[in-house]
Amino acid sequence: MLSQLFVLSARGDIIITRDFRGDLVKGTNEVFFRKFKLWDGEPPPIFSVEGVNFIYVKRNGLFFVGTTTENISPSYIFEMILNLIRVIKDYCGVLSEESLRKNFVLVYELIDEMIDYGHSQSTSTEQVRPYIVNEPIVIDNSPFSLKPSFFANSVPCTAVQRPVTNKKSKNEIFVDVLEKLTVLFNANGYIMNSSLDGCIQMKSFLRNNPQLQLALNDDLVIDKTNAYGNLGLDDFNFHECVNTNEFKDSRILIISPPDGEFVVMNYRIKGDYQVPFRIFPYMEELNQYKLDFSLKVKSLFPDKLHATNVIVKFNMPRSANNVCFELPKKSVGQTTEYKESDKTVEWKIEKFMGSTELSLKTKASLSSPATVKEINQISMQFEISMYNVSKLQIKYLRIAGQGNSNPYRWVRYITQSSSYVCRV
Amino acid sequence: MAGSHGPQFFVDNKKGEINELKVSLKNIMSERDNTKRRDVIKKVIAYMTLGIDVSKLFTDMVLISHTDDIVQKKMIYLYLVNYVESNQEQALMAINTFCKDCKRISSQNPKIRGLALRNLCSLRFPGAIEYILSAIQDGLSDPDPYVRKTAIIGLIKLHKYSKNLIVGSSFVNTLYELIRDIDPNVSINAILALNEILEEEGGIAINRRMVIYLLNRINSYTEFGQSTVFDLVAKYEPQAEDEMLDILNILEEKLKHSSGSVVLGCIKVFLNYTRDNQLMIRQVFARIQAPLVTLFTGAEVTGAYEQAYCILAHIHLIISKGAGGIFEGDFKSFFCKFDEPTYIKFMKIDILTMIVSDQTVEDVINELSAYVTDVNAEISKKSIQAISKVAVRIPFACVAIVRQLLSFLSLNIDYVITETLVAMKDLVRKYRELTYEILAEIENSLEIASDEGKAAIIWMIGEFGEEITDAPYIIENIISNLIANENYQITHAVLSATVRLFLKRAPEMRDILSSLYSKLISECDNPDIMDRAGFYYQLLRQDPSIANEVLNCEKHPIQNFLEDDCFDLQDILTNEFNQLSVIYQKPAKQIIKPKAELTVPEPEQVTQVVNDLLSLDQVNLSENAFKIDTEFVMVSDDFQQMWMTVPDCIKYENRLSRYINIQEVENLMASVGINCIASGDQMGTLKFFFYAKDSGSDVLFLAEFVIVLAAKEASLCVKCHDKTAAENFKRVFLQASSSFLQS
Repeated sequence: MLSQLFVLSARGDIIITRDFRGDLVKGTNEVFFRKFKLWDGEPPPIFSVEGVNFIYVKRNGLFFVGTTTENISPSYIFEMILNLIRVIKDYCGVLSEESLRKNFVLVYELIDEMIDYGHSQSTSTEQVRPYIVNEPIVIDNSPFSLKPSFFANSVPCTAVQRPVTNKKSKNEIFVDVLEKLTVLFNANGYIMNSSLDGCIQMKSFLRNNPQLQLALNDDLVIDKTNAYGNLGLDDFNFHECVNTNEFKDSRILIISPPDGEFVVMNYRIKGDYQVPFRIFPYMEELNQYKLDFSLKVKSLFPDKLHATNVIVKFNMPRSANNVCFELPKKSVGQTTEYKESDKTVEWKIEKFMGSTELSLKTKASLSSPATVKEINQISMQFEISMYNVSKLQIKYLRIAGQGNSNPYRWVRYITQSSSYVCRV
Repeated sequence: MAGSHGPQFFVDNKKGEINELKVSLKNIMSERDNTKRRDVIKKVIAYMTLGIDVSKLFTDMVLISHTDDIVQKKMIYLYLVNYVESNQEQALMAINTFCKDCKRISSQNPKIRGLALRNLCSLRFPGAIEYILSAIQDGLSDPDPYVRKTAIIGLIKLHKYSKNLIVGSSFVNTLYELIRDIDPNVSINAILALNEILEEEGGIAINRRMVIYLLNRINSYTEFGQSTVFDLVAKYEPQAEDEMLDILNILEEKLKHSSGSVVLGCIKVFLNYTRDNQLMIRQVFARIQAPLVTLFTGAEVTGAYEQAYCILAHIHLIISKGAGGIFEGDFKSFFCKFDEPTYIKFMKIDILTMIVSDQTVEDVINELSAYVTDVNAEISKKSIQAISKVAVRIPFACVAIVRQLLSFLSLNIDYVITETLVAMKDLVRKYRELTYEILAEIENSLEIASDEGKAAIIWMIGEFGEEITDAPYIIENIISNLIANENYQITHAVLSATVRLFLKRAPEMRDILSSLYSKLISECDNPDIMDRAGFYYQLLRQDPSIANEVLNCEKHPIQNFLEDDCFDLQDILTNEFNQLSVIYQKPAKQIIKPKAELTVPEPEQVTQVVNDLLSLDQVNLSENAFKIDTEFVMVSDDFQQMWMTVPDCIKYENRLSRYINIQEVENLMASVGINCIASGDQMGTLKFFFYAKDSGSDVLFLAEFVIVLAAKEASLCVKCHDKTAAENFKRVFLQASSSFLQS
C-alpha cells in the first residue's frame, strides 16, 4: 500500500499531494526530486532513499510519485498509478500541468475515491462516477498540450481530448487495431529479426455501457503449433472486462466495456511477416576523405495507401564535415536536416505512397578516415493508417440493446514503427 | 534607502491574502449562492495545495461546514482532515459535523455517509477515538456497500493510530465474516484490513475453505482484488497433491490476464506450490514463459515502460533460478529497441548474457556489438562488459569474441577502448591461452585509452611480459613519460608491472627499475605508492626468488562468476516474488527499514538543532535563552508601519559562496522561524523583507536582505530596538544562511 502520492511538475513543483498514512515525514517530494535530478544517467522507475521507496511514472512532463516503506508488489502500484492517470485523463480530457492545476479539486476527489489509506478502491471511470461532484474545466487544445498516444497524430480527432463525462457527447465507440513493428535489417536488406506487438484498443462513449460482441476473423490462427505457414498469434492476453469463453471456437469476445480508454487485447507475433518498408544503404568511400552514402527506401504496401510522419535517421562519422544532400529532382514533401552538434541526419517524408521507392544521397568530407561502423544504424519511424501487418481483422462489432439508435462505430487499423532499424 | 523601496515589494503578500480569505469566509456564512461559496472555499484549498499554511482559517471552515451542497462538503472535509492535527482544540467542533453526516437518521445519502466516515476516520487525535469507534460500528452494518467498505478501511486507520484497540476485539470476527460480503470490494477490504491488523501474527489466518471460497468468486473481483487474493493463496499450503493441482488448474486461465500484478501474483502461487518438485517446476517455467514475454512487450507497446521494467526484473529472477533455457528460444525478444529507456536496455542486456547458449552465441554477440556504437556511452560500456561475460560463459566462442572485442579498439572512441581493455584484462585471467593474440593488438591503444584503460594494459604487460619481446621498451617509454603525481592509478600499475617484469627479465629491466625508483623518490608524494615501493625494495633485497614466488605466483584459473553462486539470495527472492525485493535484487531485511530509522531530512529538526546550539551559547549572555517564536505571524500593515519607525540596528555584508534563488532563501529562513513577508527579483537583485519574534522577550526583528547575484554580494540590515537581541537574531540568520554565504 502507498504512504503518499504526489504529482510534481517537470520543475519539481507540487501540483497535487496526498498523504494517506501519515507515516512518513513531509518533504519526501524534495528528496525524490533531488535524487531524480542527481541520478547518473536515467533513473529506473523505482528507487529507494533511506528506506523510503519511490515508485514513479512520468507522463506528459508530470511525475506521478508513490512512496512506501513496505515490501509491496511493484506492478500492483504501477497499475494503481497508471489507472489513476487514465481516469484523470478520462475526466479532464487532457493530461497536462495546466489541466491538473485548473481541476485540482476534481483530481483530489478522484484520488480519494480510488485510493483509501493507500489501498486501491474503485478502479474505473464508471465506478467512481456516482461519487464525483465536480465538473471538469476543459482546457483548450493548445498546440503545446501533448496528444494522448491512443489515437495517432495523423488522423484529426477531437474525441480523445473530450472528457468522457461530457453529457452532450455522441453515442459512439472508437476501436483501434494498433500494430507496432520491430524489424532489424542487415546491410544487405536481409531481415535479421522481426516481431510485432499489437493491441485492440477501445474508447467508449456509449450510453449505459451496453455489452459488446467483438468478432475477429474466423481464420485467425491463435495456436501456432499446428498452423503451417499461416501467420498466427504467438501469444495474447485480455483485459479484465473481456469474457473469452467463445474465443477459442468462434473468435468472439464478449466485452462489458468500462467508460473511457482501455486495451481489449494484447497480442504478439515473432518471426517473419511482410514488412511495409525495406531499406537499402550503399556506401561509397571515394577516397579516405570523401564519403558518398546513398539510401534507398522501398514501400511494399498497396499503392492506394500511404505512410505519414516518415522520418529516416542516421549518424554521420565523427570526423564528417561539409555534409550535403542530393534528392532526386521531382521529389516533393521531403526535407533533409543535418545536426552538426550530434552528427545526425534526419530525412522527413510527409507522405510516402505505397509501392514506390524514394532515395537520398548524402555526401560528406572527412577530416580523418572513418569506418563504416560509425554510421552504425539507420532507423525509420512511420505510421500507416488503414493497414495492418498481421492477419487479424475485426469482422463485426455488435452493441446490445440499442433499439433504434445505432451508435457510431469507428474502427481503424494503424501500423506504426516501434524499432525499425537497418544496421550498416 | 530601504524604507523608500519598501511598499513596492509588497506585491506577493501571502499573509495579507490569508486575512482577506478569513474575511471572505465570514462573509459567505450567510450567503445562499452556492457558486459563490464554492469559489471561496476552493481558494482556500488552492492555497493549501501550494503549501501555504492556511491553518488559521480552521474555525471559519468548521463554521461553514453545515451545508447540503456536497461539492462544498467535500472541499471542507479535505481541509479539515489536513489541518486537524495543528488545531486540536477546535477539532472537536469538526467532529460533530462528521458524526452527524455519518448517521443514517440524519443523513439519507449513502455517498455522504461514506464520505463523512472516511474523513472522520482520518482524524488522528486522542479525543476522536470514541466517536470514530461508534461511527465505524454503525458503518460496518450499513445497508450500502460503499459505507461498509469505507468503515473497514477506517478500522485499519484506527488500528494504526492505537495498536491494541482492534486486535482481540470483536471487530476481528466481524471482518472475517465480511470476507463473505456480497459486494466484492467489501470482501477485499476485509482481507486487506485483517492482513494489516493481524500483521504481528503473520496476517490473516487462512484455511482450505476460505481459499476455495475466494477462488470460486475470483472473477467478481477487480484485478487489484485478484492480486490480493493470489497473495493469500500463495501463503496457503495445500494438504495433498490433488488439491494443489485443482488450485493451479483454476489459476491457469489467469495467466492470460493483461494485468501484470494478476499474472505475477498467479505465478507466485505456481512457484510456491511446486518449489520442492523439480519436475513440476520445469513445467511451470515452460508454462509462464509466453505470458511473461507478452506482458512486457505489451507494456512496451502502450508506452508503460515502468511496468515492462517490473516484468523484466521478474524474468531476470526466474532465469537466475535456472529457467534460462526456457527463454532461450525467445532470445530475440530481449534485443533492445533504439527508443527504449536506458533502464530497460540495461535489464535486457543483462538477460541476454544469462540466456545465451552455444546455439545463440553468434547472434547475441553480433547484437551486443551493435550497441557498442550506441550514442549513449553507458549502453556502450554495458554491452562491452556483457560481451566479456558471454565469453566467460561460453568458452568455445571465446576466440571469436576476443577478436570481436579487438575490433572495437579501431573505433577510436576513448571510453570504448578503455572499457574493452578492462574487459580483456579480465578475460586473459580466465583464458591465458588467448594472451598472445590480445597482446599483439593492444600496444597501439596505449595512446588513446583513458587512465583505467592504460592501467589495464600496463597490468597485462607485467603479467605476460615474458611473451612480449619489447615489453621492457614499452615500460621504459611509459616511465620516461610518467608524471608520478598526475595519476596514482597509473603510477601504481607501472610500479608493480616494472617489478614483476624485472623478476622475469632482470638483465633488460635493471636500469629501467632503478630509473623508476629514482623518479619516484624525487617526485612522488603519495604515501601509498611510496610504501609499496619500499615493500618491493625490501622484498627484492631479501631474496629475489621469494619475491618471484610472491609476485609472480601461479594463478588459479577463474571458473565462475560470483553471482552464479549466490543461491541463498535467489531462494530468499522466490519467497518474496512480486515484491520490491525482486527489483532491488536484495532480500526484504536489507531494504525495509523499521519506521523509527527512517531518516528523511525533516525541516523541523533543523530548527531544533539551531536553537539548541544557540541556547548553549546564550547561557553566559543572558538568563533567558534566545528562541525564535516559530508560530508568530505578522500582517503587512504592521510591518510597514514598524519599518518606517524603528531605526537600523545592525548592518552586515558578506559574499555568496554559491548561486541561490528566492525560494531557497525563504525556505531556509522559514526553517528557523524567520518569516518572509515580501520578496522580489529585479534584474538579478534579490530583495527580501523578513520578520521574527523572540519568544522569551517578545522583541520584534525586521530585516532587509539584498542579494546581488552577478556580484555575489549579500547585505543584511536588521531593525530592532534592542541591540543585544539583534545580535542574537543576526547569529540565527547567519546560521541559516551558512549554506550559501561565505564563512
